Amino acid sequence: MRLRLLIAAVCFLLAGLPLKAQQRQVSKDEVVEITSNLVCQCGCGNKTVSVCGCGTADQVTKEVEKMLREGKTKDEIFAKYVNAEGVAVLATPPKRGFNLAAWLLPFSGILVAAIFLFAKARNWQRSTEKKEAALEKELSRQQESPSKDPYLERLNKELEKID
Amino acid sequence: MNDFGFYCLTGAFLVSIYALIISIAAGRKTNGAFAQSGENAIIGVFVLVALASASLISLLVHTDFNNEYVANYTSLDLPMYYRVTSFWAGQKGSLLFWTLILSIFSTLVVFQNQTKNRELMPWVCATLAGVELFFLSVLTFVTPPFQTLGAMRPADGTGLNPLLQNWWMIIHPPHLYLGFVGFTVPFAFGLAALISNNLNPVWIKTTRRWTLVAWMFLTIGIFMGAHWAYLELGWGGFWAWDPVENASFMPWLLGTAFLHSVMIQEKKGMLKVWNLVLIVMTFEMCLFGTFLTRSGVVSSVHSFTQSNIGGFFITFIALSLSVSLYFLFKRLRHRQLEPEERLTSFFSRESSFLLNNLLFLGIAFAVFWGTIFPVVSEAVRGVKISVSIPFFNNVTLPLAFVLLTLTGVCPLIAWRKASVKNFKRNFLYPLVVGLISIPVLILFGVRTLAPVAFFSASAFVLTTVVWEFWKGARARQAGKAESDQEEPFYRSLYMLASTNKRRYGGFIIHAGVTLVFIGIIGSTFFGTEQDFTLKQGETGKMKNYTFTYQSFGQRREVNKDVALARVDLFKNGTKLATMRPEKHFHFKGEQPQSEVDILSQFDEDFYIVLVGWDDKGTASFKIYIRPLVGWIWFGGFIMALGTLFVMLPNHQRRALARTVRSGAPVSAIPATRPESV
Repeated sequence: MRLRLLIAAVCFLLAGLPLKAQQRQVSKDEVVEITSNLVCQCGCGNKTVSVCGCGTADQVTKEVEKMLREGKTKDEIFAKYVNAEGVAVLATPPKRGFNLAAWLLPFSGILVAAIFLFAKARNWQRSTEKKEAALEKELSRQQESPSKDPYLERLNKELEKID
Repeated sequence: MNDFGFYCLTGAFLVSIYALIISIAAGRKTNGAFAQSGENAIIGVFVLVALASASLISLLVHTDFNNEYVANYTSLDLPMYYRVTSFWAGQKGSLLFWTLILSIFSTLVVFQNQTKNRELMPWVCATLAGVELFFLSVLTFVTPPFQTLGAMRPADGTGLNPLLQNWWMIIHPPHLYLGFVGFTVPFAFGLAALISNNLNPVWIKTTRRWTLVAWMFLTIGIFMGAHWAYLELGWGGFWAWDPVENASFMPWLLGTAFLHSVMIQEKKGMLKVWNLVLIVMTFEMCLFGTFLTRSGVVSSVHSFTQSNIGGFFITFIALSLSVSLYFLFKRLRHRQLEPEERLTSFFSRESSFLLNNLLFLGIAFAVFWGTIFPVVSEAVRGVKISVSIPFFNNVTLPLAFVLLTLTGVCPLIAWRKASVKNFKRNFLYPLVVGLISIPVLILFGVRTLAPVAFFSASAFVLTTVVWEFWKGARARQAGKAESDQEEPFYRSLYMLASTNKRRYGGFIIHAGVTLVFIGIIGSTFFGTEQDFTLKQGETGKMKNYTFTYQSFGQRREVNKDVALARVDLFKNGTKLATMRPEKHFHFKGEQPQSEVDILSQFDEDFYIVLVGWDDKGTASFKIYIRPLVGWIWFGGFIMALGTLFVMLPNHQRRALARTVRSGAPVSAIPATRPESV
């Protein structure tokens, strides 16, 4: 009987060895990397599991840690939650299909506005430069050939007559 | 009191219709008597709305549960001050509160402009009356605050949401609403300028102080809301990009862009169209914010309501936007908004302000888009999705970095065209400090890109501010010394700032903004947290803190049971404080509330939450260490202080006005530097 028990215990321990070997050490950062991309389903708004201090968040954190220890990948863990809760469990819209608009629109909007503004500003700058250049040209023309001014010419002639 | 309130509100609704019609008639026929009548009607609306509000407050104070609103938001055990503040706890009360503030502001506008802006005033009154009419229509037909329960009257009320039973929640909503409503005044003047074709900068000068007041209250309101979230929600954070938080942030962003770009119009006569667009958008965003908070269209932890007012708000937003755009395009078509000057160079203050505006708008759009995207997705594809913290952080962080850097550049770069000399004079030292801070930060262990970038940009901005004060005060001191009027440095500094409040107040605000950025980055990137389960007398350790769980106790209060733990906190062996985190079980509440205890220090906050306990003397705690959080609140305080400083009356200008009125020669006024941006 004792021998049987001993054999059973040894078998049990041996069976557990590969299981133990499968479990790996999980860092806090790895857990946070996943929980910061999952929205807490406790009803406290828009908070992610990593920041929500409620019981649901604690439970999900432990689940994620366990799954990581069991060797599940990030994508597998996300897929598990999406299957259970729907895509709304992800803290950010997936970067594909229609949801790509969520990511692209803000930046493309800013880019378009920046290009428009740049073009407009360049136009303003050029028109100012043109105006300034024309003004300068006119001034220098007047300085170079003051006699071309009809009034000045007339005045000079009158002065010459007096002389 | 119910009937009295109802009749007052109905009366206010009818008078606002009259105010709108008569003011439009006054504007169209330039009839002074009509205009006067419209202004009187605006005052009439105020009196009636004030009486209706007083009626509701009286019902709340006396816990008259015959009133549906009172029954939903108060209870017999609710302390008196919370009964009063229940006025803005629910949708009906808060919309009445909105209307009350608007009617007060409208009346102030009428009194302020009895002898000036007479061409604008009929249209200003028409706009204000139009907005009042909208809110009064909603209050009269959709969400009436004086609805009675009759035979359904309960013996006791449901009580106020325990989350709202907090000191910050008493003062946070009024500040936010003062900000939201405050932007209605510059909007009304802007629209009046468009309709009446009085497009000179008078509307901007008249509403400058109103804009600043609205901006200041909105700023304070946002910081108070963040502080409330930090204290009350027990998660160690202060901003979760929640739809309702975003609702207050979007008008703030647009209002800030407006405050900056009006300076360009005042100085250079540029961006006339842009400023009108900005104030219209700011106002629309204030309405959208109220709609978001009160409609519950996007689920939020702060959205304490779910209702059917959405359609009305959307219709009014569309209507007011259409009217504004119609007149804007009309003036554009007739080339009545042509700039007096054009941009001369890309390296100028004008273009840096343009970039600043682009960034403010870009961030506002990103936040707007992220906030409404779940609704868009559900409407277009029928799929519910979430847009949470990581999205907003990823999208706004790069833009915020450029904006922070511009905070240092904009006020110092030269008008028209900046030269190399100008760059060297104003930016050499700040740039050197900013660059030197990078290796110093790395040396002290800050090795993540975002914190390094933000901290070095902050060092750059703070140096530009300090350098500008230093240079100015030194120059003044030297000038005084030359004219044999020696002046101590602190006096030169004071005189420098007080003779040009707008410029130096702006620098103070920028310094505040920078401190806020330092706090946000510090607490976001370097915060740590840990769970502890301790037996009584047992000690835990986290970073250089040790804490001993001493005892556990319970007490009963008027409206709740309170469980509390006593924890002695030590840092490097020295006792800092005895922390008392609590858990509140409101008799009327469904969920227990954590009342955290926080030890705020210069460099970090020690934040402890009592999570649970058992009969064997064991308790669990969640402890957060949040670096630099205090800097956020201090920065917000500095921002408010800077805005107040900008708004202080200008003694030189007053003296000049007095002299002009007395007929004395203007040269009698001592010469001072002109106010500049």
